[in-house]
Amino acid sequence: MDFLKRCNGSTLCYFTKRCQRACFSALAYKGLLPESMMDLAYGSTSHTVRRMAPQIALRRSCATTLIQEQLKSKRELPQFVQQHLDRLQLEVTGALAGTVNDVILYGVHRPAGAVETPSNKISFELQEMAKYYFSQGGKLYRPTVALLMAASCSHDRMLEAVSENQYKIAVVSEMIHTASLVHDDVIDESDTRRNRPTVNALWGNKMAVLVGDYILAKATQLLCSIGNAQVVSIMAQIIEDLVKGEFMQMGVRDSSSEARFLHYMQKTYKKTASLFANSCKSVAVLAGCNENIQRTAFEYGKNLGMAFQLIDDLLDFVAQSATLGKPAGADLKLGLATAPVLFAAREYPELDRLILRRFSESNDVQKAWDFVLNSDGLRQTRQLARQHCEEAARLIAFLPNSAHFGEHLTDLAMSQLDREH
Amino acid sequence: MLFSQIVRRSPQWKRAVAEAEKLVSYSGSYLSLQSSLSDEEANLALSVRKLLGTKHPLLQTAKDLFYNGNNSIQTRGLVVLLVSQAANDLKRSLSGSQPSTSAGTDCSEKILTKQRHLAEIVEIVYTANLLHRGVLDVAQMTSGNVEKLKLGNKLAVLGGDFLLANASVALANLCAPQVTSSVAQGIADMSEAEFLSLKHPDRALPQDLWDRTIYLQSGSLLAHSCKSAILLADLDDQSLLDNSFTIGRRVALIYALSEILTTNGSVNNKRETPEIDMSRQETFDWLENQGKLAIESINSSFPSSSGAVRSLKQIIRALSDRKCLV
Repeated sequence: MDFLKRCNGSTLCYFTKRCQRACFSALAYKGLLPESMMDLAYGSTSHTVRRMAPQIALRRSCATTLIQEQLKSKRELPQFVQQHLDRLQLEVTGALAGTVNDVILYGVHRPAGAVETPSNKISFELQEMAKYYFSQGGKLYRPTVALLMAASCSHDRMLEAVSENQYKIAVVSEMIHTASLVHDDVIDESDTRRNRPTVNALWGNKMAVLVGDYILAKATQLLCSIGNAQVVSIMAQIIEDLVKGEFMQMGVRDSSSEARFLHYMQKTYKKTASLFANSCKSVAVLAGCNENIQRTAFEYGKNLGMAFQLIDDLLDFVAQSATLGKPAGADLKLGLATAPVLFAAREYPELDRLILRRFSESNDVQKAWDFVLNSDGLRQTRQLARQHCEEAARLIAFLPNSAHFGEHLTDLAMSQLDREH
Repeated sequence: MLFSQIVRRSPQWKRAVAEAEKLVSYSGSYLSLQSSLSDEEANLALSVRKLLGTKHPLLQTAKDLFYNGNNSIQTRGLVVLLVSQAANDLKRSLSGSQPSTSAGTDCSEKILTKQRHLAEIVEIVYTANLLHRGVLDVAQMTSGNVEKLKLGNKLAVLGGDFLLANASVALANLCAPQVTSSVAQGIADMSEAEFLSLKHPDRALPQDLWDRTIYLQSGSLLAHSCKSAILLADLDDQSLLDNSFTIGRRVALIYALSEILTTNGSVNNKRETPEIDMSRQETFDWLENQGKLAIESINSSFPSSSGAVRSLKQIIRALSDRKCLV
């Protein structure tokens, strides 16, 4: 608690909520925060801040120092991982344009002179549309996980422990994710993503759908160039799970609260966690790991993915729109009952009717919003996410190269709880 | 590819197709690869009924698929099966045994399970593309119930995605990455075709552009599939692969040309085969020439004693012979 010592205690300062939460999060992460102050670190609402602020005297400079310490203590990614990520956009552009030598990348001999097909001269507009999301500087979360898992599965302790094929998995996972985003935006009729217009807002629904197909097809080709049939099957499963998850999301069941929750968790697995899980498993397979390690890698990815989505669903209620990059409360407006809502429904059975009619009547969204914020739902969601993070972190010890890269995987898992967007 | 147009098919074509179907034991559907529908999926499929009364393209597509058994899709599956059987006959003749000659013998063994799956995958992919091309833009939702049209869009996107996911898993199960990659190229090309169509929405296309559009729209997938059928037969002679690719491409072109020539009525839906900026006579000539070239390609690679080869040639002649065109 060094920062408190540096503060003379007599000066009160009200610093921003973000600042405050960052400080308390850092303390909590290091296990230094008293239990009574936990809610300051995890999802404090504005009224809590105002109540607590007069009681906490911290110099602004102390707070800043603490944030700097927090940032320093947050591990930087290994250099080779960062390099791969920096290269990723270029790799994707190449895969989309099909400019890599066909024989090497696709193993497909293009018959000379059989047809003067322009398949290798992709329309400029198509390229622009396909590249659009990749050039926006997304978080590249999925490739990061895949690369770190690849390094952690490597048996030979070398720093440059990610093979070209494992890198391809990272690229493919990002491409599959992006293709699904493009289609989701059409289905959800979304106009903005990451604070920018969506593909369908710019170019229309039909083109967006076909661009999504295009990206997926190119991802498939990149995947096939690895030449490992098992890995192709594993990654193909992601595509099936994504669609099934989307279908599950469209259906509402008239059943018990438990059944509904199970349905939500299954949907969350299919829509989000499956990609993480199967990418991790694929890189483990490519590293030559046995089935136990493959399963461990899979479970890590799965738990990480579940936590990721749970926090996403939580942030839909607590984060500001600007940070999210899209309007908050989007899930409710789409008629989706996510974990915070399902937890809240246990306290307020009136929510059940709203859930069943998918918040379709006027004022339903506002009512549900109020129920959730007045309930214990957010805290319970965070608690569930924490369980998944901790399970993921626990599994890391079983990976071959966890001594070198395990900490990064732990960071990835636990930092879910600190996310603001 | 043509839905609300009326395509007049000659008796020769119908006969050729019927014989071919018998030869390859064609079931006419691709249900065997579909995983069983969950409740939600089935409910959504039934939701298509809600589109009745709207002009959403999905409705017409669904009708065509389920009531008319979309001919152009099924023909593609059939061609892949015929090429598969021809390839297997070739392999047998190379190793010295008799190729299949009649429909009466045990046909189902003449085509490998993997090749049958490939044919079904091809049909699934074409259908998915049909559904996805039927998605409406907001600007087009001018008449009728907008809510229903939006539902139609959701169903079209999801339905197409469902089919593509099935196809992806089935492709992966073939355990032949080269084949998967080929089919993926076909899918990518079909997306690109739509972009080309965007640039020239209304007027008739000059020959080279039309050729390119048709290749991307349907030729690429069929060409890659025919080549894949050869690969699945464990044949890897490069000239054979190239030739099969060419055969697939030509058949798609022939099919499109014959549709242009035998359609009556006007094109009322921009998704369909574009018009070509050639005189009817020139188009006939081109079609006939392509037919001859296709048959030459077949003859140069496959044994003429093969029943499948004969059947394929019959179909091509029925499509491209001037005498057969009404």
